[in-house]
Amino acid sequence: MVSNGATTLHMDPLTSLLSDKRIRTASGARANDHQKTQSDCQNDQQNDCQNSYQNARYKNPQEVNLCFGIKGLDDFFANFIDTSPDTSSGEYPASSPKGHGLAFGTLLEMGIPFGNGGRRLLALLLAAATRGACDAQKHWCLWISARQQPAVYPPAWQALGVDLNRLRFASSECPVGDLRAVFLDDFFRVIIIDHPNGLKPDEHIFLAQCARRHQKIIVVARDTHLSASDSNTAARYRLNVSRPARQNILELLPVRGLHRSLRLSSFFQHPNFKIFP
Amino acid sequence: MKSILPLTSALSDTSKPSLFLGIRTDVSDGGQFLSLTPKVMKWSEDTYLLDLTSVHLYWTQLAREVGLSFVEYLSSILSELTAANTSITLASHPWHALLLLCVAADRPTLNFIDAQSHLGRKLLQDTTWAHWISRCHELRDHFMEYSGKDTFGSLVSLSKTINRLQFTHVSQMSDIDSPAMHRRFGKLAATAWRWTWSSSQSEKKSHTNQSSLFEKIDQKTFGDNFPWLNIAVKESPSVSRHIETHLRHWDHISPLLSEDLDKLCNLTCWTSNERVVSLEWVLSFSCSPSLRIPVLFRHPHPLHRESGHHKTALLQAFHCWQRANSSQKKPEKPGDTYISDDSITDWTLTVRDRLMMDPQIRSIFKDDLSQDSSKLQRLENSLPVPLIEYWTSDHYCPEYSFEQQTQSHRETNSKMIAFDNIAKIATHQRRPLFIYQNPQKPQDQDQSSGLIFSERVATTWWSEESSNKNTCRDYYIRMTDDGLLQWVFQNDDGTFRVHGIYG
Repeated sequence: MVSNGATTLHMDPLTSLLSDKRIRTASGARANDHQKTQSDCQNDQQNDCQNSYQNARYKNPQEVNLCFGIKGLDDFFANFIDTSPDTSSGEYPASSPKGHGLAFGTLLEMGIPFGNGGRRLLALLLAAATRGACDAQKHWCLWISARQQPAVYPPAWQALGVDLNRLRFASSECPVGDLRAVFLDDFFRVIIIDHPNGLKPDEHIFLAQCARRHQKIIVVARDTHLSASDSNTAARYRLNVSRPARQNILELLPVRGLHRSLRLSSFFQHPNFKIFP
Repeated sequence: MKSILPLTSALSDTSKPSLFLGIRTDVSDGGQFLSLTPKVMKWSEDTYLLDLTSVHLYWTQLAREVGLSFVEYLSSILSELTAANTSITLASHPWHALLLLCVAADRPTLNFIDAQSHLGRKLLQDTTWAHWISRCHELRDHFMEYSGKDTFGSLVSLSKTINRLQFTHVSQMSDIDSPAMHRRFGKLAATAWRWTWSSSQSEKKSHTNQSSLFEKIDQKTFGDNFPWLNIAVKESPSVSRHIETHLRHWDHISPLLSEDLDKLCNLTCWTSNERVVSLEWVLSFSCSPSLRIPVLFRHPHPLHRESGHHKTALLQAFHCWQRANSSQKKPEKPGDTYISDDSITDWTLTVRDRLMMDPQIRSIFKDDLSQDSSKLQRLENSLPVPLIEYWTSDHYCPEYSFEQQTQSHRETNSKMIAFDNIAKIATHQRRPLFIYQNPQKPQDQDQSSGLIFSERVATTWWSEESSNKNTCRDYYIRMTDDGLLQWVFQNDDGTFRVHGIYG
């Protein structure tokens, strides 16, 4: 409820969003055009409330990001923050990048067909997290998989830079049901769910909430490419990782949340992955 | 008797960790050994057996905190608990621990023997028939006490046969298998013979906490009916509750269970220094038979520290409750009901196994882990699945280049060939992130096209069984037509196998 002349407005987030100037009616008119004649004090207070509420999708400027260690990839996940609208035009400027890498508090869904080499990206992420490459803070990581065979080969992970002392593996067909305590705890900051068997929509929402609340990075890696028609709205980013036939290029194709694709040329000639001459 | 498995066999599970202690001591009761493990058995007047299965991970982590191996830490604790002239053996099976104690009696300078060490293996091979038959007589007494029956026969004919053949050591009859022993000399001899020659390949049953906790519930003791009988301990803390209302859902059960856990902590028959290894929760229903739900903790859990909320215990109880509900059988008779539809009338909560830390031991070997380790143990105690940690070793063979945390005897494993660190990293960088435990046959017909040579790996041919002809493997990277990046190898005989996938 808005109280006239009150210094403090108790406004629920839904109300503040509805009065947001970015929300337009079907005729294109601004939602609150008819209220232009109301007191300036009330409008200022509304703007203050709007600025105090941020869309949950956008990162907190105080967040620390986790970098992969590959410049192109870190730029790819560079975060954007809201800025205030231009007072003269009322338009919002183009978002400007802030920071590099993947922000904590993110649920990321990736479609990586098993065997195309794309999971090396996740291993690099774990290497950055466990070694403290970005923020000099070493994080505990967890890899959850329902896949029994083939099993992980830890020496290869270690050779990519992963600190095995800070990485744990769990096998579960129902990761959210069995390992709920892990998601609700602050201990593991990076959690990868590999090849989940049928995550339900409410479980996606749960994962997103846990990621935000406990400042985790949660990655759901599926064995098939994602489709835009999938109804997972909880993930901040959704992207597919593919490798063109017989080429040493890894392509990251956004499905939602990102606005450009990325080609990592010579990915398999990366110093950490020299398998081709 | 440990042997190196051939290349194409299982990964990393090449030896069972030693989890059984045999102790010869002149103490009157084995109460002080309950500081190490809740499972202590009095084998004879001067011999005790300890089962470290449920507490192995806990002691291993404590040892790591102070930079010691599991064996070193264990021996230092035992040196505080026991007198100087005590003989201690460590083995993967209680029978081996007992046999080694006999052998150690003839060598008083050896007071701690690990059966998986080179010396331990040699000493086991030196087991005499006199020692073996003596232990069999004791085993027979225990079987009779355990089962109440005397159906195991005697060893008279075996003794006569050995005297006639003038054999002195059991290794002289190592070619005879257990079924032959059973036919000639009866069930007792066959059972003891099978334990004597049990190999790491034949006994794949895991006694470690790496298996799901629920599998331990379904297993019999050791899976081979060793007549284990724990020593009597002082009163087990227990509380009971009678339910007057219809109670079926976990949301209604958990507050009452939390209250009962608090009551359990307030009982005076145990102290806050003790740690719970397992609880037993027995529920009675109005129409269905009673249900016994074991609540197991992966690490000894300090129940008193969570008084007021008992978050960890409740989470673990919830998982056990769910499993019990999901595994219920269909009603046998028309009038019977599913347990899930039935109402709980009362329950009893008992601390079944606990670690009773001796104050002397507690003051010397502080059981407080680092903050991260404590948090990790607390998390593991609230999960139904284990959190696996891997270690890498300096071995070029993929199968032997890593192991899970349960295999704490890295220092007693067969000699690993030294591997230069830089070379190791360079080699592993070219290997895939995922490998098959048993290399697979390639799906497509054309196996030799599109191969890029990666490395050649030679086997430890000098310790392999003669049936294995392949002494080296040539590894290749192969890209299939559908874009799959495989790690394949070619044997000496030209056959290809898919060993890994570049995730």
